[in-house]
Amino acid sequence: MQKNRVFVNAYESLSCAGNTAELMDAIYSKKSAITIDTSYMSEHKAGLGSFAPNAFFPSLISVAETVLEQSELTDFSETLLIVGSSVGGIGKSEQIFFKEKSYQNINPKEHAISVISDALNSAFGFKDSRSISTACTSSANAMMLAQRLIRLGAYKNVLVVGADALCYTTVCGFQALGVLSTKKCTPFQEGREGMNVAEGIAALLLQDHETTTSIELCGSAGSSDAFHMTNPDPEAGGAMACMQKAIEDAGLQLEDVDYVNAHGTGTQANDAVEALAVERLLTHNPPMSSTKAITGHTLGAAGALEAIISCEVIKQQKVAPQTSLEVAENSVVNLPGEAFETKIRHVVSNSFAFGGNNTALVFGAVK
Amino acid sequence: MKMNFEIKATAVVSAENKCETLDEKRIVPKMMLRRRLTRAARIMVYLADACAFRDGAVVYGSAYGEMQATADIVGAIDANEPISPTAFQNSVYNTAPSYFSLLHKNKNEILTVSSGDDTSKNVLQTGALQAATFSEEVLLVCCEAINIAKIEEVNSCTEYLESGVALTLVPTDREATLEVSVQEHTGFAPSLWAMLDVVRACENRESVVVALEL
Repeated sequence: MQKNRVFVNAYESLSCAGNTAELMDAIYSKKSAITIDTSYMSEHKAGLGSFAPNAFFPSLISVAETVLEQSELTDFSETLLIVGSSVGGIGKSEQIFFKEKSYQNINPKEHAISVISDALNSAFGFKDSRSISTACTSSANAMMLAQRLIRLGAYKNVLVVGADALCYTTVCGFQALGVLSTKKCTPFQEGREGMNVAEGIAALLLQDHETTTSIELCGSAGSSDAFHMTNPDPEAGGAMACMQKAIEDAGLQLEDVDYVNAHGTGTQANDAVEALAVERLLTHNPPMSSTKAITGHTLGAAGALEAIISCEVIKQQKVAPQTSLEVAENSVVNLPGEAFETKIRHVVSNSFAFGGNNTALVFGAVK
Repeated sequence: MKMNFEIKATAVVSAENKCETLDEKRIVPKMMLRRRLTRAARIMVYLADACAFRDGAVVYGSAYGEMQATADIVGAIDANEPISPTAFQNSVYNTAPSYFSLLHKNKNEILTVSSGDDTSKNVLQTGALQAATFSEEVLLVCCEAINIAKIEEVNSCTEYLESGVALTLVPTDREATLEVSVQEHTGFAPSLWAMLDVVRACENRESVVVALEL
């Protein structure tokens, strides 16, 4: 069977830390963009990541437009769109229901996950589109599918878009689970309080040919914990399985990994299990950090946003530091306190979700 | 790019209000797990059981996801009441196949597609890609469970408030005997139509090989 190589040839993002260039500056200078907010829960403070209240859809189009401008394409008419999102249009449905106490004026098409691909299709006219919704692995899984389609020769160009806006359902829902932090989150820190919900948009153009600025998407894999709906397998079996399979899919050895961009939400359960997975699997102890300390957890957009960060880390040959870390809970894993330049050939980017849904992506400098 | 896949098993279920014969006590013997299942999860595990599928990659699809959990959360926020943690964990679109993975300790990849009216068309495409990637049998399920209070205020797409369709497929080198062409299936939500085309074409036939676009 045909096996094309897959290249990330253009990308842009928008998060509470700004566009991609601003985000990387914030990551390397360890400046969290989280704000402490009571707008979603008047009686509870929560760290949230917001960039454009009420301007999510114009921002979505603008980010995709920037990717088109960066690319050699004149339009997206020969490009497949794969969207990853966990909430779709629920924010608008909430607003209508809270105001009218009725579903009557909720448009089902604007409520669904596919509202994002519909908006992008209206603006750009893609060849075809599909939407993936596996909670916080949504856009990581979109990346994985894009890689497989290009690898098989089914498409030459795939635009992956991860997009999730802030809404009451997610902010109040995570509060109900008792995993929200009232402060800026502190991934992997001993005694950490929890996560910060955030919004984000990230778009990456994957193609079957390389350009002068390409980063290769070398490998990907998924797994299921089959353990619990929200708690990860404490033995880290699912997290290790997807990392190992993704590294094998890339044709690499475990010791070829030079940096891990962790899922690292800042919750007790996730960070303990993810650190254990990396400790057990990557025994050469590569540096690892969670950039959610800067962006918050952008839910369905996180996989694509952190794919962009992984590409930037390879381009800049500079490890992203672990912001907000004083004392690590896991003293074995390598959580760098400061950014540093080093040879970075391959990066693993992890995404984990409700339902025990795990995805790992492997990026590499083009050889 | 098209590839050919043999359909190994199919199943359909639908009801105007509530599917009553989902055989939950046999399929999900553990009461604690059974009590937590959403309506879509009950339909999903029933269809998987009907296809005799327990272990392998799964592609699930739903245009509207877990409507009851979503309505419960939004209603609680509006009423300034506490949100049920179970409602929140059950509100994600991959809830149903995740319960399937818990039930059978299935550690394979699970993907969930939500592409509006094109959902089951995209489930077929994504399932085909997964089957081609793993060279293994893959379970495809598409389900809508929208039987919630006041759904009539917004429902104009289906007579069946609960419905689901499933099939399993494997890659094959055999000639295709069926091309998918999306027809209207009266009563069902459009998000199920493409898979219903395949499943209906398999009725009363021993073997169907379908050509699917990846």
